Amino acid sequence: MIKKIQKLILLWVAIATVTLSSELQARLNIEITGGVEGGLPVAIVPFAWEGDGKAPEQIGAIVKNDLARSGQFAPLDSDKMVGSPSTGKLIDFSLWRQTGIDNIVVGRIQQQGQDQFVIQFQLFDIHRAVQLSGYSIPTNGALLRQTAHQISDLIYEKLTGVKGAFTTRIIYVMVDSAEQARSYRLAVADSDGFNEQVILSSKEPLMSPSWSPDGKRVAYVSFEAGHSQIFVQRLADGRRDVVANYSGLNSAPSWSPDGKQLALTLSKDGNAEIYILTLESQKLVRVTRSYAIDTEATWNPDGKSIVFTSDRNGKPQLYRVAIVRGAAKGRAQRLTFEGRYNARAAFSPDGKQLAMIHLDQGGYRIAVMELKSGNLQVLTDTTLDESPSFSANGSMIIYATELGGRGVLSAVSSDGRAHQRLQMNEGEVREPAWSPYLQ
Amino acid sequence: MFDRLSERWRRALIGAVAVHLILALFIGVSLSSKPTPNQLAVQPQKEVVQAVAIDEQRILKEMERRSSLEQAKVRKAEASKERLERDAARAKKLRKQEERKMAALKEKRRAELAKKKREKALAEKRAKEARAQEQQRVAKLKEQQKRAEEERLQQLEDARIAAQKAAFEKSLAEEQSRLQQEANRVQQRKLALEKNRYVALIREKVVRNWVKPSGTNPGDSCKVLVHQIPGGDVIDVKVTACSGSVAFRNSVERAVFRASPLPTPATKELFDREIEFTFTP
Repeated sequence: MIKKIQKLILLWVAIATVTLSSELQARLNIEITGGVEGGLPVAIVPFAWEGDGKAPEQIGAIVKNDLARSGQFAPLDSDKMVGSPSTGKLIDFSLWRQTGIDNIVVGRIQQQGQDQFVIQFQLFDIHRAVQLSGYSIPTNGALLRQTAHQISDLIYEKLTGVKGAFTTRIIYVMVDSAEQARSYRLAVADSDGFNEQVILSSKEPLMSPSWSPDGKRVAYVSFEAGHSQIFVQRLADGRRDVVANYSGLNSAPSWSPDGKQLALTLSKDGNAEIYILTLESQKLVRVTRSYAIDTEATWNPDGKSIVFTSDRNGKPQLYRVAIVRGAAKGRAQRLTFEGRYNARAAFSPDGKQLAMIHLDQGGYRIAVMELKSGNLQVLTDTTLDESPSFSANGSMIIYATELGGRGVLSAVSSDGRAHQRLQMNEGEVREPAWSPYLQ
Repeated sequence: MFDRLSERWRRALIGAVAVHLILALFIGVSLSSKPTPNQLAVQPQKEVVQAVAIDEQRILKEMERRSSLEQAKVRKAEASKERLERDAARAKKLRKQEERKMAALKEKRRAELAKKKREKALAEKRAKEARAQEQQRVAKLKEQQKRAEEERLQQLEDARIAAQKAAFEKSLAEEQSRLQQEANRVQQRKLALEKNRYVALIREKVVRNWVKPSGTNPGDSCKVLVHQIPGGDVIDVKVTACSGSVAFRNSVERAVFRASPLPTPATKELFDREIEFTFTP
């Protein structure tokens, strides 16, 4: 009996020993939690110019600004760079590794003719010293910035797994409020605010520009006829048509995901209500029926619902109504409960989030609500934000705010971490809208 | 036991002697009852008395007859004398025969007695021998038993000593194994402590170098297999399982590379070319 017990003990000890040692011998598994959120450290070496005279554009700088603006990257400052390689062969990886970067972009602009260029760039993993991406893109003087944004898109997608949206465009309204010569201009620019092109000028207010889903047309409100009208204008040739000219208010157009319909706010039946206008047939269907103001409709990217602003409960809040075959189905459901003012909703491209103007103690700020959880996150700390609009990949939100008494455009990453004011010409800028991906 | 045995022997001996005596007596009696040679010698005298009868007429005849008788008588006497002599010779012969017979008998008895004596002596000798044999046997048996007993005791003693020795050796072995285990445990504790320290150092360095992408989902998790060489230089990082975005996955790979060279352990045993990291935001 005692022997048995002794044996058992010995056995147990043996097993325990084996277990212990095997535990020690097993592959080390280390749990890593924490870390800091931050941009990806990347070096974008100024692109070498191989041509006559001065480089026509600082391609590296454009790419660097794009990546920085997205909030996903922390580009290395120029003064911290340890060389200026223009091709992969010239990169001293161990040297660059010491700068703390993870990736490096090198490139060069080669002049091919009078206005013809080829931009070559390579993206490297600095740790593994392997090329992740590399392109040679022919371009011309007018498209140089566009090509630079294209490079930004390629790098962004390679490193984040998400399609870049730097080659998309923004539309906005510029206001020159000088006493004697008040004017309104509708302008389209690159996502960084450059390459501004005015597509319409008017002495009367222009409002609420909205991109068609294919990015080829815009709808907007113009008071050029002395009252509000809704126009649809083709960007390619500037042709414009009035699509809504009802008595009273014609405002806040929003394209359906299939591009065939517009959700509008009309007051022809008394007070502001939401309608759906089928562009081809001019057929109009009323969506909301309340004594309150219902406006600022926006389509869910899945086309199955519309979110709008209504003060039917006293204060402006966001509501959602289901849309089946171009008509409302059921009662509108209130979406926002936090704060006494939530308005001007914009869907994220994946339909999971809503950006809005949210009034908190500090003022009117951009907030993002996750529809599934209802969690609201305020992204900005400015006071008079308006008109939020998601970038095509959902990573950023552009909005208008007031700075020094005038309206400016700002961009914020959709997590609220990166803020950047877009460099614009003089004058007040309002109501930006970010285009979808452009072909 | 010996007493009892000898008692039995004594009784058997007495019995045997008694039987022999009785037998001898019986034989003696039967010999004396046989007819003696004297009795046999009287018988011829009875026949002589029967021939006495005399008549006148017959005297002559008688006389003649007597003379003839006389003659007869003489012849007869001569015959008788002859016969007597013959008888006497015969008797003598018989006596001699008898004597010889007696002598033979006597000789026979003597021989028998001698034989008996011899047999008795033989029996006694045999008995003695048997006794001696028995004694020998018993002694031998006793000796054997004694030897067996001694052997048994020796074996018991041997077994006891062997058991003692085995027990001692076992306890010694156990003690040694216990000491070894204790030493192992101490070593393992030491290793475990060093391992903890090593892991903490690596963790700290990797965490310090981990720059997560913004908006990382708190539920995400990424497992990577890291290959390092002695000295801690990271050679390769392989993502084995990852639930997060590409940016998250990339950040995890980068964190390990940025932490290269990884801290090295104080004990070489703890170094492994492969380390697995599990990243959770």
